Amino acid sequence: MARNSNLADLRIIRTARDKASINMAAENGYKPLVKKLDPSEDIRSKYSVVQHKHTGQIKVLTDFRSSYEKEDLADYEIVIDWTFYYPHNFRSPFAAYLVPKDIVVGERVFIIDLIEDYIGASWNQGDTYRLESCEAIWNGEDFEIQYEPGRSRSGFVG
Amino acid sequence: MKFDPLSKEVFTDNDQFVKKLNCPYKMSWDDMEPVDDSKRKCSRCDHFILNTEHLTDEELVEIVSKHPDTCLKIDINQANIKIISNGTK
Repeated sequence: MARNSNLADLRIIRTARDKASINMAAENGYKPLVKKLDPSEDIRSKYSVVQHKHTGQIKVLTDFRSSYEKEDLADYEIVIDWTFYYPHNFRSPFAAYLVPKDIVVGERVFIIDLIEDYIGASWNQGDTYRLESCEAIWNGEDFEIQYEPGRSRSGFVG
Repeated sequence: MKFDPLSKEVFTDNDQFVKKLNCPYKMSWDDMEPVDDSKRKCSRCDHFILNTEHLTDEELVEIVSKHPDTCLKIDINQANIKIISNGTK
């Protein structure tokens, strides 16, 4: 069974997210597997902005249930209605998996910081959150991410 | 209880910071051994992970104040959680 937790003591694959750290890893003997970031339309958070009619100050709402706090919001008006957006802003538009030189084809590893977007958690209000980590198998050229799309995900632990 | 799924920070309903969820092993609730309805045991570090689904803010603050290393499980669909921020800070 593929997992997004490292129960099996697999080798950890780290990710470098800017030019300097990619080049440093290359100097230290890793082969950086460079990839473009490709934001998925399936990853989305929502917000709405309401503004106080007299002071001009705003509140940012992220939960539909906030709309029903009528006393709290009575003096506010909606200036941005509910809007979904991609909530991540990575420091470079590319990143690299740091591949150890001694990795072998077929080796199962654990990627701590996924470059690709997979849904890690779904909120019942339509928001979805990136999967951070997952097992993968090295095929000699790339990592095959062992993502299970049918698995229900909504829990956070820590 | 309030939770920001992007920063993984937990707050009370009165905006008191409680804890930032951070599991170095990226453990998931499903992989843990059930102890009872309120907690499970982590096989990596022998911690108990508390299910926050039925905790009040007061209970949560008391537990984390006494034992700051307490691990928590939050399901973003549980009834006592309000999602905040969502990357809009």
